[in-house]
Amino acid sequence: MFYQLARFIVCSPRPLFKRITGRLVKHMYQTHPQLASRLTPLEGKSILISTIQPPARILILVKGGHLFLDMPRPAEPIRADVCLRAKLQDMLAIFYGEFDGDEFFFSKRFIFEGQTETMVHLRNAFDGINLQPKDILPPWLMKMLHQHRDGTGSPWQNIRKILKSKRGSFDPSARTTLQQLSVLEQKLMQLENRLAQMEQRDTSNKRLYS
Amino acid sequence: MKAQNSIEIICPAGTPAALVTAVEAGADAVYVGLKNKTNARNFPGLNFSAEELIEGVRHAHAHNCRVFLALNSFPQAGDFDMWQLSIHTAITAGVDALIIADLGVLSHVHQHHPEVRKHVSVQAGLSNSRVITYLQQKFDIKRVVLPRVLTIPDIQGICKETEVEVEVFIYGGLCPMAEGRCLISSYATGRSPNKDGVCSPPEFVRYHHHPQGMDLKVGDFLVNTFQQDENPGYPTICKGRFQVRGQAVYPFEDPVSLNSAEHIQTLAAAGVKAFKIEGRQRGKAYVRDAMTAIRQVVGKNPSQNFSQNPGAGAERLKQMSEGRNTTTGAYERKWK
Repeated sequence: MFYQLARFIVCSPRPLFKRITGRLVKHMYQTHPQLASRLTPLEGKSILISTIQPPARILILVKGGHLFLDMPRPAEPIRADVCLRAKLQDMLAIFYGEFDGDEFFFSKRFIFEGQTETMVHLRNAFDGINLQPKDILPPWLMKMLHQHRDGTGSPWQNIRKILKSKRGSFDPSARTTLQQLSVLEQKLMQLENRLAQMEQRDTSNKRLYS
Repeated sequence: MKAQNSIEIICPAGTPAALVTAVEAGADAVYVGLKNKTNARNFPGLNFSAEELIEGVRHAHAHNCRVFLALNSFPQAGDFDMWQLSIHTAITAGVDALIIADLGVLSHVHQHHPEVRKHVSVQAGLSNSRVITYLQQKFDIKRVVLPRVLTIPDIQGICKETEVEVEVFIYGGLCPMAEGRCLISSYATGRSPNKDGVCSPPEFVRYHHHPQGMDLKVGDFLVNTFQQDENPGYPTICKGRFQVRGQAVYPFEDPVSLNSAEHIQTLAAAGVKAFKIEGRQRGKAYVRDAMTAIRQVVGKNPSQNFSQNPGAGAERLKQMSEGRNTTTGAYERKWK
């Protein structure tokens, strides 16, 4: 599920990509504040991540110990200090420490060019913290993904229940919550639709090449 | 702490997360380094700050695991302060032993901190029982990590002739050179693994991809060209491929990792006390998988029980190896 979400994000239009990743990175720094000091020596560095499956490019800039993610336009030539190439799934596996980056390098599942020291530092900075999907994804999104994965009911239904229970109240804070949840519901619906489209596209691709 | 008379499996931990992983995977002890050139894995972004070391030791001790700190590079003239400060940091954090290579550092610790347990690093290259016994008498060393250039009969002989605990490498990156004395990386990059704690410093390593494969350069030297169907290894010159008499060969060593898990039983019977996994520069997934695989090979309790079905573990160790290839190194070597 997390891979599907990541795939959705890297295939999103640029403004949506920047907005989502901005929030996810912010949440990651809240759960792992030590990351800032670990990344400080990389100040000003740029890292181009080029995923093979699905094909996408992500440019990461390190400023003030923080990461800023952008998505270069398809034909746009990019100047970066280091370029990393792998399948998105493999990249995530290294990112979360599920697999050792050197092992993927030895088997050529992970390829890089440019400043080796930048790549080594970045890898060690992330490997040095116990990063979990929950550290990047806000709790509501994690819950939604788990419900979707486990088939334990639609997350939309749960949100609607909350909405209904709040509708009877005229408390100003409840009204704000209600508004926030409405916005959230719309966003989540969009997200689910995009995921469904991705699934469909993935299946049709498999058919095409099989 | 775990029983002192059983065999230990010692795990690398390059980062706090790797330490936690090693402890969870059942390591008897972990070895770590500080974020400076006092240890032989001084790579960017790797190692522990003083605060992280304190927390790491606390975590390991709470889970019945010991922590050894590597202080195994060689201070130069007028450059002892960093080692002195690192010794203080380690002792304050409560590490269980210091792994030392330099005689001056060993002497300093013995003189000023006699209560601290001292292990002699592989970087010291101690290869006979006389020198080990001498250092025991002189500096009260408790353990020696033998260099990876000794054969099994050599190790059996040393174990027989000394009371000092013997530790050997059982898996991981392999230096084919005389450790602590190798100057090849210094020659190519101007930075010494022995003084600066880093072999083939990443800032001197460059990979270039082209349709035929991948070129690997260290400094100004082309070290290897990997063809498309070849698995790359670490960027060390001693595992480079060079033209010798018109043929491209590996004159020193192939890209390969040491895997002598199959010899643990023999070495344990000879008196080897502890078995070490190399790889502080690698990620926590490696630590977890290497530890698990070694346990599969040797059984849950290596002092009593050896696994009858080591296949899965052995295969996993091969997958994680440099160039996806393993060797028993000098343990079975016929020449010297």
